[in-house]
Amino acid sequence: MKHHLANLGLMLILLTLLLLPVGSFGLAEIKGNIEVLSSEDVREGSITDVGESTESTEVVETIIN
Amino acid sequence: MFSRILVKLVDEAIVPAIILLVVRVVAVVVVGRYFGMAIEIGATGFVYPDDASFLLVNSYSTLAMVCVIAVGLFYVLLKSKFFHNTHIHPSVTARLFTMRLSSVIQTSFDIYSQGVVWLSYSFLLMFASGLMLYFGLIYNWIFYVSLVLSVVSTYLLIIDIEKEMHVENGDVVSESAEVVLTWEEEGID
Repeated sequence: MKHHLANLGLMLILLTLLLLPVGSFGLAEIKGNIEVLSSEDVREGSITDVGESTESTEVVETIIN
Repeated sequence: MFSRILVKLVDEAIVPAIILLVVRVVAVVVVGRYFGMAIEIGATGFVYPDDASFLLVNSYSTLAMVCVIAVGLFYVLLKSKFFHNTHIHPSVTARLFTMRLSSVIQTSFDIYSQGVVWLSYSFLLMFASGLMLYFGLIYNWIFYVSLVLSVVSTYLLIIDIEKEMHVENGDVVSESAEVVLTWEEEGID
């Protein structure tokens, strides 16, 4: 029993090592829309093209202010 | 207690894992700087300014990883072809010993365990790039390069193992033939 558990542990270590480089693809993030909307384009009034909801416009305006 | 093959595979997988991880990180930084992108490091990793930047950097950093795996596989195949202890040429052996490079000569266990590890990385990267291609996170030709590398290196490694085992000549069967030892009594009249 101990023999099998030890080998299972080794297999988990091996799997972790093999997946480590592939897992590095998850270390990525793209800046959200809020930052894009808070640029000069939004100040010029193009926010009405993005969404029709008045609530979202208010949120973005609050962020800008 | 521990399986000898598993211990060997874990041992052989450590260095490639570190190399690939370092190459990925360095490639992201280098590609980002080369194309003048403002890539930041946040709590969840690299923060890209937009989708196009991510696509570009992700593609080229994956290509860098594919290149490293190709070099690793090429090195293993080279050792398997020329520095395998089962069929290394005597003159090459003598030359390597003269140059104090006898450690280059390796056994089948060493070479094929390294081959299995690099091949595993190649296939994992191929599947990862295929998945990223499906979601539009990578250029399609990167996936095709990874696919070709995996297929070609698998084929070459299989051919090498076949030659090593003499499968093509059917010698495997003859090698496993039974040998019966007989006990002859002597000195009995």
